[in-house]
Amino acid sequence: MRAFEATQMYFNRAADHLDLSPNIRTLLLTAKREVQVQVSIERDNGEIATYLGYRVQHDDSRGPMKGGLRYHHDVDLDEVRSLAALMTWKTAVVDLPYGGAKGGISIDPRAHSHRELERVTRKFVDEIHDLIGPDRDIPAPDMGSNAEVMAWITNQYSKYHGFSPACVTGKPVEMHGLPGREEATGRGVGIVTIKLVGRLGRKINQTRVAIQGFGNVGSHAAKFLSEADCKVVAISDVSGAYYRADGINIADALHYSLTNNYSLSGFSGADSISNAELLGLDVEVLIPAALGGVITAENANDIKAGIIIEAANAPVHPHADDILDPKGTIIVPDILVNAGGVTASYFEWVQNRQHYRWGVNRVRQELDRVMSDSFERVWELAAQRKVSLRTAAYILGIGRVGRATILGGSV
Amino acid sequence: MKAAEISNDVLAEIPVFRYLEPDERRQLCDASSIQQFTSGEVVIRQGKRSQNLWVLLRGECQVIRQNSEDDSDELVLATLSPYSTFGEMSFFHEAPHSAGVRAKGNVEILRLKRESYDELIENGATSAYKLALAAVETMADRLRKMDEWVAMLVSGNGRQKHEWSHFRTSLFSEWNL
Repeated sequence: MRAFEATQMYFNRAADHLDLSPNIRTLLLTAKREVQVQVSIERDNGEIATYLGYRVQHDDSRGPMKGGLRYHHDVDLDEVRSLAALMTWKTAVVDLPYGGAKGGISIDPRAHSHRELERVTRKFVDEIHDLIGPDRDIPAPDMGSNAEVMAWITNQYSKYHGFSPACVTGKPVEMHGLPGREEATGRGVGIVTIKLVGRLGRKINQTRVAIQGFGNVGSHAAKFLSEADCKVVAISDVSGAYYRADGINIADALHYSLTNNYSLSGFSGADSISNAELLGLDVEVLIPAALGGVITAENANDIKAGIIIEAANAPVHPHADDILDPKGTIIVPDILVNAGGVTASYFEWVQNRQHYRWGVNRVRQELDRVMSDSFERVWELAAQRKVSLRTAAYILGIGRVGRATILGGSV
Repeated sequence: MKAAEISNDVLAEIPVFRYLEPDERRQLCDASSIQQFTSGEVVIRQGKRSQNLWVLLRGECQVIRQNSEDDSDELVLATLSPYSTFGEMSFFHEAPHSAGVRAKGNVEILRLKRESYDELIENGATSAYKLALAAVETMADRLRKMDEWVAMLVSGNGRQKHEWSHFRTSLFSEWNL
């Protein structure tokens, strides 16, 4: 099962609660527009290479569409289509005035030079510039793309439409980007975790946390939680997992990783354990912040943590969800947990439209508000209707999109 | 052909006569007459009143429902084949015909007038009661089918027709969170 098939399953569970008919489900799931374009460039060695570029605009009932642009050789229309729908529910759960979209180019960025990637990006913008824009559809970085790619898009788009920094988000801070955007997803993960621990009436300083993944999301979540007085007892990256019973010094680990080519390999501040051992640690909170599908039906029974915070996209397989949820494991779903990124994107877009630069404190303060409010809504809905947090999040998202669709009178 | 010339074998084939003894069938037959119509001729006109019980003996008839004065806007509800009975609703309950019947080709139809039937009742003829029983069963069967159809409209198709308002009600009342 690919990650997006899980999304479809969760959508249908929520739709059952909302008693949506098959025709209404089709209406909500069908993308507004799907575009495939040819992206051809001359490579550095003089060869002509042709890639396929996609943009799927799923729903704009709540506002301009928003979603990442993925550079990966496996990208296809099916994947982009489902991720676009996921963005619709995600922006709705945190109540940003956005719809959902997603795009991608079927290219392996590691097998291409910097100049080649720039040519590909500009060519792609040439093909789709009429379909995107600050009031239509606002791309952002995703797997394989980054702030620099966003800078190229801004530059190319502005050649057609004049100065338009709000046409993409996730730009470099030096080029109309948002201070604090880099940390936003990880920070959002931390905010939700602290809120949940509070809701359960537990003490923050007695909460032990294991975090899988020490990339952009995992490292900032670790930093936020350790600063908030949680005990981060385990972290991991591709080099392996690291455990220290009375808490890892996260500042040390961050410094080590930064000076070690972004790898924890050889980190001496904790004991080496396997990634499987990390998932099975006796901790209060487990945060999978790396890949999708790491908790499956096979290893679900090894999970001892009572709380799972889905920082990655779809780290808990639906079959594992079916095992853990009845056991009382609290799973906070990805569409809420990792929405800090798109929320910061929203702030960046607002900043660009205001032509007024936000400071990092304002970004953090507003992010805290959006993530906290969204968590509270989902928590209350789950308690009232006796459903899991995941189903509650989908019900909230689908409900908001549905009401906007009805009010817009688009049928 | 005269009514008296109808053979007993033919009378035994007529469903609405199913509870009657052969001599009772003959009695009813004697009280009736045979009417002939050519193709396209109207046997029963929608909206008009008449009280006859008809049994189709030869040929086919069409049951037609008109939704407006315009002749072109008509719906063929059914095609009747020999030994079918029609007109029983108006026969037992005087009201304008809800649909019309038209000959499709040349037809012969046995007609029992309500006055003739009333005479049989007055004389205490059992044939009249047995005929009524068979006719009531046919009408009850039709009503049951109608009930099923209405239920289907209300539960299935009917709901689909109001999908949008159901969606609206669900999201703005029950799930307006």
